[in-house]
Amino acid sequence: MESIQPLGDQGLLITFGNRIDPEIHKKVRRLYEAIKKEQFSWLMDVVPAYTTIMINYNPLQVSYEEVRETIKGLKTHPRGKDLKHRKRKVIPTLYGGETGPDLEELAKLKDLSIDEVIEIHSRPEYLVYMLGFTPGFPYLGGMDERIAAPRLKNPRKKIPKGSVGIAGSQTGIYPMESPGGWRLIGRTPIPLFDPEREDPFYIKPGDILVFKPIDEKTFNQLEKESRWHHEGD
Amino acid sequence: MKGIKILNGGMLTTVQDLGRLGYSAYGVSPGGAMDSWAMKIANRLVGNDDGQGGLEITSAGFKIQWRTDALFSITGGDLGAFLNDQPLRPWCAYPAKEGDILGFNKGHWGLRAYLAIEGGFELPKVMGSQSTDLKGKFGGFFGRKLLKGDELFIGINTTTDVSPVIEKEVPDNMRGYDDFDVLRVIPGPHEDRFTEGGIKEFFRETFHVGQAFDRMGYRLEGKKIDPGDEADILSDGMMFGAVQVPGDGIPIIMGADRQTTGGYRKIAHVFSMDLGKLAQKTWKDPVSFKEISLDQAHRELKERERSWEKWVTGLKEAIPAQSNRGQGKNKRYFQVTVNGKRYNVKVEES
Repeated sequence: MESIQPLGDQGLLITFGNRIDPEIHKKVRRLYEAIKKEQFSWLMDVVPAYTTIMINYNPLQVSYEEVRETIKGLKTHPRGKDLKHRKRKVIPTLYGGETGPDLEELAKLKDLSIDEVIEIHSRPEYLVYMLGFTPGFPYLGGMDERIAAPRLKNPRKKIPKGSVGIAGSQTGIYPMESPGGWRLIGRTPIPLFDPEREDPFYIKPGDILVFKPIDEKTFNQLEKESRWHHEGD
Repeated sequence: MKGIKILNGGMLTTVQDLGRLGYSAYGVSPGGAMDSWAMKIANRLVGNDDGQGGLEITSAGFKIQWRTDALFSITGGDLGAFLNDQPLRPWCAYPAKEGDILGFNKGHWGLRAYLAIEGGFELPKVMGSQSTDLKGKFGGFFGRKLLKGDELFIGINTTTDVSPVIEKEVPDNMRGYDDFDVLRVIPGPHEDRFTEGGIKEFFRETFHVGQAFDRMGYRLEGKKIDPGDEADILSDGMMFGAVQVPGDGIPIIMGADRQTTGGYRKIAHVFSMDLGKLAQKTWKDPVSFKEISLDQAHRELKERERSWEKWVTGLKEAIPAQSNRGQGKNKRYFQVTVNGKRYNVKVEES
């Protein structure tokens, strides 16, 4: 790790680098998994991001120095099996039409056919660097620059839950209805966030996501089932 | 029914506890009371655990009717609380009788008041907390603010190691609002990404709370801080009290309902003991920043817990338990020990 710095009197920030890079993220995830495994009583919250981990500790139980030294001690742990078993999760997506109102314009903008945009978007394996913005919103890496496009000039007040969008060279999925300026190219019928479930989150940091094009009939069927689709493990 | 009925929801009243911790990695804001010390003390005054759910009341206007006898406390800002026609001083616990009306009719000082009830509310925990997530529409009372006509059930107090403190006002200097205009901060972590002039301005300037302030954050107004070359960083985790400076040079202090990650540089973090002052601030209130060392901050946090203990112990020694409880009312609170376990017992005389 490059540095550990205090974030006020109850937090600290561990930094591994300063660019979006799967190798740097691997270090983030390795330490994140190690921290979670320990179940420290002073640990109140932990947030892995692109190149950093934020830790929220209880200063009535532990000092900053103790937390820092404990974290430094963790990095020498041998590599666990955890990282070899990234979870691959499928996002069945109905592209275009009502569910993807900006797909046609995006295709025109990038001088591609609609089918080409779908093909380019659904081919890569995307790495979930982190979740943020709203519960369950994944920040993904790995999108093809050929379909990169700026945000809409006028953000929408309401984006339906499950919408798949593009902003700059990022793609993402809205787990709940929210405002936003991403270009919407499709929608998934499966719930990414459900507070009533014992595990409310379909997607976790470090997962691999794959978008799978589906037709309207499958969309409706899956929407009724509202099941999650894990692959591998 | 054993509960309360909402007669007027006021501007924004939500169920909050000390927050939904452990889910920030999945994008869920911890939420919880903006003035968490006030929420904690409200609970301690009625003999609840620190983490019990209570109400966060924003501005005057909120009004309820008691559907049962109960013990309640109010802390935080002074929003002109009254029980029937009797004005109530905040930072104190009081007994209520079935049919009594509790209202908050005038903002005398501060923005947010806290109401704790012995036993808390009979509400499910979502991801370990009763806090209302307004954006996510879950937690608390159906994930929304309280409205006229809502009825909330009061729970049963299962806590055995906190005894209530009734009709004794928490002293001013223990409320956490001293030196109200000044927020003490611990610099960093991105202070090296600002110019020296920018840092100086941050500590010298008096800012004011702008019109955009809510549970998510407080946007300030005032002199712009020199943002230097790079305003943006790769998004990383955000604490309650993080002071972000976007490219326009105007600081934003993040609140309980903040997004879990953010992409602006953070010049400093507000000392957690001063977040109560932030929570009580409203439009145009002055804000200036003063540095505190991490060591000093930790010492003061521990000292605060010790002075609370000392105050409570002092009360118990000064006044015999029975006569202190439910003074002048035909209701008394006792603490009894059965098989080595302590229980709080409420006795009503007929």
